[in-house]
Amino acid sequence: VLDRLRRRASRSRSPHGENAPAASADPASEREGAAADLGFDAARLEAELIWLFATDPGLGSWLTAALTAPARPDPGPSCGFKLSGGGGSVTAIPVSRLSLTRHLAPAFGDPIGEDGAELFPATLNNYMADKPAYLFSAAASGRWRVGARRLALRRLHSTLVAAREEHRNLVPGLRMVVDESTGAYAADLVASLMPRSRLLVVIGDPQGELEPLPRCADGEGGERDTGLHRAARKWCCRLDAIARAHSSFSPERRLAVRREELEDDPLEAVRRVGAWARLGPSDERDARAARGPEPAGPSDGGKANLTDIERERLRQLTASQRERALTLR
Amino acid sequence: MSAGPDLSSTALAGLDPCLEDLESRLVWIWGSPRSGSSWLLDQLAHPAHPNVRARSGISLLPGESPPAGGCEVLPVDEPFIANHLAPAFADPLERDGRLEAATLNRELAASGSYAFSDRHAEAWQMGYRELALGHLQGMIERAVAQGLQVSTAPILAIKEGNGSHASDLVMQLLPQSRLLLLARDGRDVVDSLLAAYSPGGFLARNQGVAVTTREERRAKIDWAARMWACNMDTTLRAVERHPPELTRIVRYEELLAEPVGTLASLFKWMGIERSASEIERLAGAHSFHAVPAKRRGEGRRARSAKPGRWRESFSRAEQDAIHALISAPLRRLGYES
Repeated sequence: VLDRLRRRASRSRSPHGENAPAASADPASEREGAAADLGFDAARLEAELIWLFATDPGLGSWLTAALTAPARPDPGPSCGFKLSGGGGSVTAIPVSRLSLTRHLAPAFGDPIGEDGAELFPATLNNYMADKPAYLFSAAASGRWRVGARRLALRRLHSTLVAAREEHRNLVPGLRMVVDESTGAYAADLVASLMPRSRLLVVIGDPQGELEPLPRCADGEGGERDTGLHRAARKWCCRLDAIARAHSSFSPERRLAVRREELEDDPLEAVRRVGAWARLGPSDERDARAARGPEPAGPSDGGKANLTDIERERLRQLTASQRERALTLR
Repeated sequence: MSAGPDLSSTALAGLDPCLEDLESRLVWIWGSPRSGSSWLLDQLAHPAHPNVRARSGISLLPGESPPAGGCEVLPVDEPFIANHLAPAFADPLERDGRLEAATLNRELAASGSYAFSDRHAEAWQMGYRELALGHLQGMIERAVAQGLQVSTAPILAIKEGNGSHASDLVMQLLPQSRLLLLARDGRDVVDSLLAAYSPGGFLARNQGVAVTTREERRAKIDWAARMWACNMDTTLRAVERHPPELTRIVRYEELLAEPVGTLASLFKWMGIERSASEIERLAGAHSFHAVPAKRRGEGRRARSAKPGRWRESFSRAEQDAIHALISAPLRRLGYES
């Protein structure tokens, strides 16, 4: 399994990333197939999507909310958000916790690969791709890629319709910020299905993002060490998938933002993302952005979770992925 | 798990007519692992059989020829269509006295932003029907392209036991297809799974995890019993909702005791003509005793084909623990408990 995944990942890393992982041999016909008879302008919808994958889902949620202000993600309404104010100034709406990625690539175990090397998620897809009967088999990729695109586009169009029904004065040409950070481990799969949309990746530092995690696992000694090791590998796996997705997108359609940018000068960072996404200026967005995200790290007033030895181990485990993260722009 | 809203007429319509026709030629085999579903699939699809080395996943059995007019039944061995529709992220949970799968759908269905939200059912139902049917149609096309002689309108027998926790959702999405529940005494299923995970068992070897300690044994028994009860509860719910003429329940024990009669009834239900001698031949070719001796026995996939072994395998306390979890679906399926 690992050899196959490495070969596929290596094929995907062309200079401009034009060949996404598991990409179809005929992307043009795939796009046409995915748009035919959908009953709406699928190409336009795809171009208005901004797929967001963050190494830390909490940070992804914050940036989604900031970018889409005055809309606020809310699972209650059918459209998935509420509006403060009239909505006339909304240029982007949030699609938060869509969880489509978790259906397209259900994960059920620890990442595949050795520490320090590129990691791959333990998804059904990665284990079953060689079986021709499998829904997402390599042999049938031409079929399922069209089907999965159509499923995603239909579903997101349904959100757009609900948004317009629930908020009558929304402007035409709305962007949709689709926060799929909880499925970041398979970012490359989704990104490869939607090459004409935009890709926004949000990279954090594992030291800060993983500091609170070992608290979740009871136990001491070996058990705690195992928990930390597992959390670190999952972080690395997310970063690797995000990096693969990033490399598969054309430079003008992709953007990487770092946690420190969002923490140091959130207003400027969110404005930069907004300009790239062609969202236009917004006072509501500025106001929400200015408050900044919750800082990463210990959540109980600065008390450290990890020992110095554990931090050093974490640093070693994530070294190659942190280096890789620096190359993303 | 909520089976979600009914399939809307809009989601049902608007499909490529070719795919719509295919839907009525699907036979979904639900149940649970270690219930004889591979064995049943081989018999229904004979002389075709699942073959992971073939581009389509299907080939002819060695030494067999296709019938005049081509193969009428093609096997689809675990497409995992159900597992993508409803990924389970934990062991089944008890709810209102029944065991339900811990799926994303159950957790998030009420959320407006969730991909498979009840409130956007029309969109995802239409999309997922198309994805699933497109894949199955693609398998037929690949089988033809690889040179397999296939009838003009083949039936696809789909083994999906490992996705039975979502059988209700799949059958709701594809209401014109057939539902076949292959039931086996849950106590024997638990026993068989435990044997497969024992040191040297085929699942222990494949997955690198063997049950060795008393605690692991207790935990595995509990997991297997819950999984079986959840699969049966869910599929029985699907049976209740599906058109009766498109639904069959077959017990593994009946298939073992009366293979020819049971298969004849199934072929008739599927609209396939098979003579008694043909059925006798194919049942013989796939019987336990036809499996080469080195490929059957303890620790193998083909273990013993002897119902009731659970009585020897489990202590009184273990039997009580299993019964506490599975007695209700056992009774519903007509087993003594």
